[in-house]
Amino acid sequence: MEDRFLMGSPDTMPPALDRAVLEALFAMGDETLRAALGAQLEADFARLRAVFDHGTPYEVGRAAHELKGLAATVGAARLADMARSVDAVAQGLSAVALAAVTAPLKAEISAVLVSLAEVVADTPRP
Amino acid sequence: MSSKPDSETILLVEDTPSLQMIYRAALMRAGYAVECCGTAAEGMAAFHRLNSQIVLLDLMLPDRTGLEVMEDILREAPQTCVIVITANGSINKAVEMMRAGAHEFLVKPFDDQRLLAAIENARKALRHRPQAPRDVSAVPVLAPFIGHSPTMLEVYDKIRSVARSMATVFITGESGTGKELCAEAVHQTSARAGGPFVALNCGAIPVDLLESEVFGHLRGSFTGAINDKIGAAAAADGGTLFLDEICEMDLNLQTKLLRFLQTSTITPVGATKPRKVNVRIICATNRNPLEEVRRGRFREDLYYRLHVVPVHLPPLRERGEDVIEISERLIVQMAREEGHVFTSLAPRVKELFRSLPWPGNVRQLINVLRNVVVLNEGPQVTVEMLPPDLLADRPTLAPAPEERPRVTMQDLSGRTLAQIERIVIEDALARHGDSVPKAARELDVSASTLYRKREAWEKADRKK
Repeated sequence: MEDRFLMGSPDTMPPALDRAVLEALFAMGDETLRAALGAQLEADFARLRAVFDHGTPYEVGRAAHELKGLAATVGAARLADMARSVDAVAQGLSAVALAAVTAPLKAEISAVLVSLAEVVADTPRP
Repeated sequence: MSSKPDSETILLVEDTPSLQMIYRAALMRAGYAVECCGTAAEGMAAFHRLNSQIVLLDLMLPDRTGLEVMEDILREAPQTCVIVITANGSINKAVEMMRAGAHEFLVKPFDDQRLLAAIENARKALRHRPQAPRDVSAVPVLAPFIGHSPTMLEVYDKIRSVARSMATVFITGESGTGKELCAEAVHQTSARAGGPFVALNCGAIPVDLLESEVFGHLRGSFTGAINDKIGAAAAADGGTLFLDEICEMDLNLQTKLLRFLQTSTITPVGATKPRKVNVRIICATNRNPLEEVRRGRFREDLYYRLHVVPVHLPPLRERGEDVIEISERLIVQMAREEGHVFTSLAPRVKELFRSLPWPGNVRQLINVLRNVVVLNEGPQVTVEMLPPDLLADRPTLAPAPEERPRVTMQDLSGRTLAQIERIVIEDALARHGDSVPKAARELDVSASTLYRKREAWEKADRKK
């Protein structure tokens, strides 16, 4: 994700994660929820990213379906859109094509994980 | 397993652990007890243990589909409110779930307010359900309908099934088959029976006024808006809004209706802030709605939003002995109202009634019976008492529709312009099976014009 910025993505590119949405979710509980939910989100995104590394087209489709709901809920709108696209096509693709369509998805998950870690630690981006 | 669930604990079946945590946190903050499961097997085990009244169920689970799980739950405990959770793009599946008996569905992402509103709706529905489950199958006829034909028994069953959910009902059927009666039956059988039932005929209101009729307006928002007006949607808050002749709705207003269905908010004409309303929608048409979509006259997205549970009312000619049962019941009732005594139909009348095509369906039958009761003393309805134009409808005697005698210049000579207008309109209505929209299209006037004229004639006739 950082590479994309270095390669000339516009400065106006929206953040991977809408901090306000995530903060609203954390605000439903205390610090314990913040820590537990932060850790669980990290684990879920990492688990789904792993499926995109090694999964069959069926598994990738299922993971993309799960990811679109999860990403939309936590304010990762761009990731949700990308997951929706992959969900729609995954099961008809060859391994090569699948790798091509999931590569940007995996990169976006990484970007979301970076933003997530920042919000959980309450260290906003400068 | 008891037939009625009893636990206050909400059962959440969702396979994504973080979403489980989020939904659970929202529910617990609102004071609900929640039990979470990640698979269908765990969910069913918890359901057996808890007897939960409300189940939040994800559509895609790792071991089974949400539909299969819901079918098992409702088979064991039909009173359970199952709220389906689905990701974007699974709307068709959600529709399938609603048809199978889901109480409501939530599309991800949704906020905690939406989630809590769904739970509250389910709790209200549970409160309004009878304490002891009724054996509805033992009472096959659903009042105020009359008739035991197999097609109508299916309709009654469907109305009872759909009444317990919030699903939108789309009623189709020829003119005069009882679409408004059906809508009222759904409302009266539902948990919203204590709320208002507001019916609006989209074909009877001029296009320019329809938006204001549905959503209301503020004083001064347009010429003639001398006072604030509450629209039908707001008037139906907490109850049911019945939109009859929905296919007559202008395309622009269809867009606004779609937005209303998506957001449950209304913005009266001239207002700047939307207002939340809690309304169940039932709509009806005598056209083929899918054909209207194909012709570009009805929005496809609105069609799929509305066409969640279709109920088709059969024409009277396909209801077998119902025509006799309805006649015998109504003739006694009408005779009492008119101070006459009628007790039965003569065998020849029964035979005739069974063979007639009844293009105006039950409405036409009611008019015929009223005519007989008003003009005759009884006690038995004979063929001689029937209006002569009814006999012309007999298949053996009546010409085919295309050969039906048309109004000629001779029929019109010596009459006033108003009389001629009435003759022409009634001729068009007769040729279109009493369908106002179809007659209006042929005459190139709005359906609302014909509805108004017909109402005026009926008033004038009553005064005579």
